[in-house]
Amino acid sequence: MFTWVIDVLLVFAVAVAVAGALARYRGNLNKPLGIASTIGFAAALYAWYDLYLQLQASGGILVLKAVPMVDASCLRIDMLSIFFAFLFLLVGFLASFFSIKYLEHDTGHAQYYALLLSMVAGMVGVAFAGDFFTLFLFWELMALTSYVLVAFRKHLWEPVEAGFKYMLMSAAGSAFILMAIALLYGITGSTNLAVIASAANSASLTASLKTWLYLAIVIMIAGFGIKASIAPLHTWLPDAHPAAPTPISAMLSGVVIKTGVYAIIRMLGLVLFPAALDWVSIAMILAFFAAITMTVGNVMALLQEDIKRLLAFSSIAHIGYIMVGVSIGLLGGMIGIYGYTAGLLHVMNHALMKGLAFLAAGAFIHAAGTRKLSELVGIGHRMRPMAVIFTIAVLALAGIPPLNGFVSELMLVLATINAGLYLLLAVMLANILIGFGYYLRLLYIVVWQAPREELMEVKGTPWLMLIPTGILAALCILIGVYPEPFLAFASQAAQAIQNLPAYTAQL
Amino acid sequence: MDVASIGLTGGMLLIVLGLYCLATKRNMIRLVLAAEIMTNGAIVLLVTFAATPLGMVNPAIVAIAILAIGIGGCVAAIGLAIALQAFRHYKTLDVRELKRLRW
Repeated sequence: MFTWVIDVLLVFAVAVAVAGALARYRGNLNKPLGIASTIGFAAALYAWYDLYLQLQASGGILVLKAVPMVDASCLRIDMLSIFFAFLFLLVGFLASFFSIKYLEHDTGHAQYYALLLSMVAGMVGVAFAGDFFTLFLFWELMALTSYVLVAFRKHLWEPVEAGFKYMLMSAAGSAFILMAIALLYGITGSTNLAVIASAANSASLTASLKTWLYLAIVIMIAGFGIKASIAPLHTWLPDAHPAAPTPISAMLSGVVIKTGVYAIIRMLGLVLFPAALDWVSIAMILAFFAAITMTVGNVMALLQEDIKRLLAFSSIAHIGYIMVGVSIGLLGGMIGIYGYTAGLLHVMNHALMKGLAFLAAGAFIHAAGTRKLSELVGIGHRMRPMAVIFTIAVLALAGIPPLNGFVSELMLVLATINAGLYLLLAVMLANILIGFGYYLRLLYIVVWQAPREELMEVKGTPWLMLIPTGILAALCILIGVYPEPFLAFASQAAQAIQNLPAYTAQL
Repeated sequence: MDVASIGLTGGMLLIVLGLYCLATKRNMIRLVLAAEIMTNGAIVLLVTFAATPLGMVNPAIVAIAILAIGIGGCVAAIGLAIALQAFRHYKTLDVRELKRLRW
């Protein structure tokens, strides 16, 4: 119904839930369910590859029917969708793999894996959506499942409280998105993204309609910005991401906030960009918020005593870097393509390295049973392989040369120089320096210092945790050493953003 | 006043009312209701725009409105479920008691 990628995920979600319900009193099904869900993600990745080949053959755009009962609903898949869908599926696959071991002491595996699979299906659907019906349907599928996953360990107070906060803010964001959909429909008379793009392109855009369009853009940035955690709207993130089970934290920090970024890129960069608005001012305002976002994230991360909370604030900082790329992209032309490429490459790198950092931290938390940095002192000595992987992740986040974070941060810095935004450049460099401060502190505490007495009984790393983190660490090094194919992938996606004629070709 | 401006003002008022309640109310159930009121305001806007500017009702936008009503129910269900869990932990529905998380 919605291309094989999403169908496979949804079928596996239902199958896992039904199997878990049927086998409730028949022994321990935790591992088989985890393996089934991981196989589901692997199958979806294969279906993704098939779709990628189809897209390459079809010349840049695939238009498919979505919900059969609703005439207007369609999927419109281009390289940008494919790029984001790949990240969602890859991190989902590894998080599901990691969960097999990590969740061994928890209950409710059937619900957990079903929700995880549906969440990824929702995210891929958001990336594929070609009209507002499909977009909103999948957006809410992703949002609803993520509320439940944040509050998954309901016997503890923290996930429940964080989940409630997240749910309220995110529901307000959904209301804003609906409002923006209504306004855009009022302006252009359609819910189809391609038709809106053509209507925005036409000369019939009067002055009063332009004012309404500005209002719609502001409301839309507020709505999607809550999910992407742009600065004044970020307050749910540092609560919700640490409270969730660690594989879910990796998903939320690595990819779920990127759906907000995707929606902003898609709506501003492609669908509304042909409208004759003052895009330079919009880009500057977005860059201003990006600067605030990264500063807030970095400064707050300096003060944290909780390893997952620190990583969550670092996610806010990295969203700031990504938004720099997006705002430079909105300047248009070659500068814009370079900015988008840098931003998208950083989206990919951040998904990999933040996912890796959360999963490795999760292995430590699983072994030590605490999230406090003061109680995790020197745990790296007791879990050597995981310490190596954690070091790779943190150094990549800090942007040390042979790792992937360096490549995209360098490109972002070059993009700001290209665009001539020297103030933004100064803020960004200062932020990267502040970042060094807490990343090195994190490494010093977790890996360098001599282990505490209480951690002496911790021994070894489970291989089920080493495989998924090892894959991510290998990718981090590979992108750092040999970035060409990944850069080409990101640059294809960036070119798709500015390729409006191809996007609106098949109405 | 024509239908369009009544719908527009009504929808905007509902959204502002929802935002006001989200900012000031302390009871968790009222907060869930505030989010619902905001969504309903947005749905009123959707239906208003669907009916008025282009002369005929567009099925696409009404489909979104119906979808949003259904999803509003799901959000309320999940919100109330989380509020119930919070009540079991804190023995109160007052969000001021839920300030154990730092900002």
